Amino acid sequence: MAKIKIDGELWERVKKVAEAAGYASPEEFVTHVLEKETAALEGAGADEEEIKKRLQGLGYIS
Amino acid sequence: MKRRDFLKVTGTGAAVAAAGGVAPLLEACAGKARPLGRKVVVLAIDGMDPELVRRFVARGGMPTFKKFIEGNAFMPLGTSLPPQSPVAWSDFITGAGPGVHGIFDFIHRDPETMLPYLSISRSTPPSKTVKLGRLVIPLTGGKVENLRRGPCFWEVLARNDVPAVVFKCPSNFPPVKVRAKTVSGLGTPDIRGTYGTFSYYTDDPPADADEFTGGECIPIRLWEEAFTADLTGPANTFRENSPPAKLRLTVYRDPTRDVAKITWGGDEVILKKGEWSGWHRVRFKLAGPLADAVGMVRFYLKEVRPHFRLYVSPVNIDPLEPALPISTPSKYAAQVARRAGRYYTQGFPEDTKALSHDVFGEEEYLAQAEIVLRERLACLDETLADFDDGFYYFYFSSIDQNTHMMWRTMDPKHPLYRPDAPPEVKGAVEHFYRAMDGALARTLAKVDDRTTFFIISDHGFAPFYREFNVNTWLLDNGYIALADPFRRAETEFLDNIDWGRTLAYGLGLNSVYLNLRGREPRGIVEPEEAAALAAKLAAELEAYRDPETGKRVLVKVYKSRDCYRGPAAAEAPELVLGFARGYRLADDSAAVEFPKRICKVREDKWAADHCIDPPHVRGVLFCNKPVAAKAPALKDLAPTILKEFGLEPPREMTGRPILA
Amino acid sequence: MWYFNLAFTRLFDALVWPFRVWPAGGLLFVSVVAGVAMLLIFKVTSNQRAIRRTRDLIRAHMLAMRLFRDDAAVVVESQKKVLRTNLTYLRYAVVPIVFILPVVVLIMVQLNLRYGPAPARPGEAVVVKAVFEGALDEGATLAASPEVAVETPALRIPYEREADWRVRPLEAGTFELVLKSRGKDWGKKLVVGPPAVGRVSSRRVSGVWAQLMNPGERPLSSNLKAIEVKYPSRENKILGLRVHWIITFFVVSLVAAFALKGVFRTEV
Repeated sequence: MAKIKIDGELWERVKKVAEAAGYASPEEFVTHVLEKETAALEGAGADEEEIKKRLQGLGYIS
Repeated sequence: MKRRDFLKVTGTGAAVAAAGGVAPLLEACAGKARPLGRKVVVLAIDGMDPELVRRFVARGGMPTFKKFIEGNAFMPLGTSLPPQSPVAWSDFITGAGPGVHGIFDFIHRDPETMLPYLSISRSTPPSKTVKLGRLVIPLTGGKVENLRRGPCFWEVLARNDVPAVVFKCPSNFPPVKVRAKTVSGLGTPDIRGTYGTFSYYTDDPPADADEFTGGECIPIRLWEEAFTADLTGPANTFRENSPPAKLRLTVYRDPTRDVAKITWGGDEVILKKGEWSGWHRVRFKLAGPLADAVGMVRFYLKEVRPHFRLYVSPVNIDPLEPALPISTPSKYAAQVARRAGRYYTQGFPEDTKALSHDVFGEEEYLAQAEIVLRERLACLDETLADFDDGFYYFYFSSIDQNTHMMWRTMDPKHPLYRPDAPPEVKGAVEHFYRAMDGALARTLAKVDDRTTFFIISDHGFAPFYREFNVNTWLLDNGYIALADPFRRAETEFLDNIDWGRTLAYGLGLNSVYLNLRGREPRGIVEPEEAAALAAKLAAELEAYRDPETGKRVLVKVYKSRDCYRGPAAAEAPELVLGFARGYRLADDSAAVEFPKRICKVREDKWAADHCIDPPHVRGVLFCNKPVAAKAPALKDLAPTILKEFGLEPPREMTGRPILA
Repeated sequence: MWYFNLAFTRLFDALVWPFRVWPAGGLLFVSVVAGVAMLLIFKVTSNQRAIRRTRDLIRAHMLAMRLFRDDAAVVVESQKKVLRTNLTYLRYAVVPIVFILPVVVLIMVQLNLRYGPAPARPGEAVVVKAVFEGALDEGATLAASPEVAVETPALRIPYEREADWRVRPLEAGTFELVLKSRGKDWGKKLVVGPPAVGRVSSRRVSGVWAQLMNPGERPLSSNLKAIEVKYPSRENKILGLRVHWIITFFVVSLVAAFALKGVFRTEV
């Protein structure tokens, strides 16, 4: 499993928020947030393609 | 709003599904008004260029125009800033500039989300829905909005009981709700909510099939001389995540002969190689038998063997059963279609994308453009026959779209000129000018001594030899910073921009915006510094020279603060680019991409344009009455027309009557 | 079979003849007549007394439920009885329905001839389809009079035993298409004209069952299963609304039957 470095002050805040939000551990919270954001960005990539297609249906842009 | 959601909002397809083809949104009745002494007739020919008119008249191919010019007014007509069709026709409709109507470019961006969108219309899916298993039932109707603001001169006519016919005027989708006979023009989407997406079925897909824009290549495999494939319809908002609705096509090919049959939902059509079908109705099921979306397509069987190639037109809104509002009264589109035959309803029907992507050869493209023209002429005959009083407007897209695509074939200086092209290809632009001569002859038959008659175009034309990427220029000159410079090649549509270090960005075909604090979400340019920065940028851009030709690329960079007046002026881009003839913005710049080179040669067949400096692409004005104005412009026409009917123009109209 | 079809078709021609100028009226009239016919068949073929008794029983149990609604036991028992009696009722209805169904099918087949397909329109292409009984004749051709252009060679689909053509009628009228296959000629009528023109038969067929369903033209002899013209659908308007003729037929005939059951003293 990969390890990442995180700023100490941020880590304290993460711990607090994770506990308040009812996560079993700060690690679980971090994993959840990363998964969500990654999925959103991956999804956004596909949509960008759609946006582009829509705008480029305009003859002026190919 | 997430980028994902933007799609749903942009997708007019979603609104098609929401409306479900059930209820037309607009219902107005065109009552018979009191008879009037006056008639005003406007023949609108998008993109007709004064110089080309002179050239083709001199060659003898336009006798009606020649005769008309001899006894009447003919002069250039000032266009809009920037000279793009939606902006220009909005000037015409409102009798005012973009500061009033709020259309500044084909493409705008939402300053809150920094997402780009097409400026003419917007559709919103139903806001309240309820989920039932896999079904999503809308509780409120989705809506489609016309984003143009300001007055509309035929509304004033209708209010004063002047009967009006307005056929296919651009920037009028959905059509203004009015007691007049109108059919919407440029801005009217296909059923998918795009400006036109063709489908191309082949067992020999080209290498760039995935990069098609304005079209979709569907790879197929024949088995026992047959295949099945889907035709894509509107986003189905009755399903979770609104997947596109599909219609299954089954296609059979004769074992040896060049003939094929296409079948779908109980309908079938047989075509020989090289043949076009008529319009055929297609029905996309959205929620079983409860809701559907109806459209229509034309098929073109390009090749049967060795490779199979079938082109299917964008799924147009069927004028006989419109899935979205395209006319007032809502039955008017059908009324015309029943007598003149069905016609393309999508904004710009000429399939320029199919030619750009080599799905059509030159002759095939011209054959399709000819179909569009023939249909339009049939509608002209039909609407003229129906007109005897009041105001009449009729619009042709042929000259505009075909000059964009075919100028290169008549201009030996063009990098894409082919000396060996067949004469009908080289003479294509002239051919469509001659066709307008026929349209003029038909219209003149309705012009009598109580008629004020205009022929107008929204802009002229210029060759498009070289492209300029303003975003690369801004990046190279330190006005834009990328969040991740290593992803430069993948950057598009305002992603990957480091807004904390970006001062200005280009979007659309002529617009440059400052990253303004208080307007852009992460703006850094203080409002009081904006004018100075805009002036500095304008001066630097005007001084820029194409490294390969040594020529200036931009004749004038307009500071919108000096040009636009009105309630919408604050939304304007700070700079409007006035390109020199021969130049235009690069496609990738409009999409906010950052290729290495700022200038390069134009390689797409869309190789003439008008999105340049307005005085260099003026339109035409022909009139059977003396014109007093020295420099008439598009926005002067609405007040002129109103005055002809003895009506006072609304205060927002800044144009002035032009007749003596 | 052909003579039966012919007689039945002529009978319907006579029925709708007074409605030549108002085709929708013919549909409404036939639907009412069909409703009455169903009613009479029901009366004759059902056990009217038993049906009346069963219906009275159902009514009695319902009444019991209302009267003794405080007494749960009675209500439950009555509900059971209502259900059971309903089943009995359905049993009594089976026999008359068996007699009614074929009549309704025959009527619908006739209505389809008149309200299903619309005539081809002058200038608009239609597809003509031949389906062979045995193997497809790869050399089959289609001929027509000069008023009808056969625009494509045969499109052959061997595994469907099918050959298709596109034809374009140039003017209104009734024309004969001729399928030439293996030295024989097979005719098929093509009706072209304004949508108001009467009967339009899309399929000429062989086989007893198929003939019953497609009574518009003389049957084909063997070797050929059917010749079909893919006509456009007819637009039927009732009170200005576009309604499929089947819906009109069912609604109007059922309403008529229920409305007239007193007149014909029929228990349903």
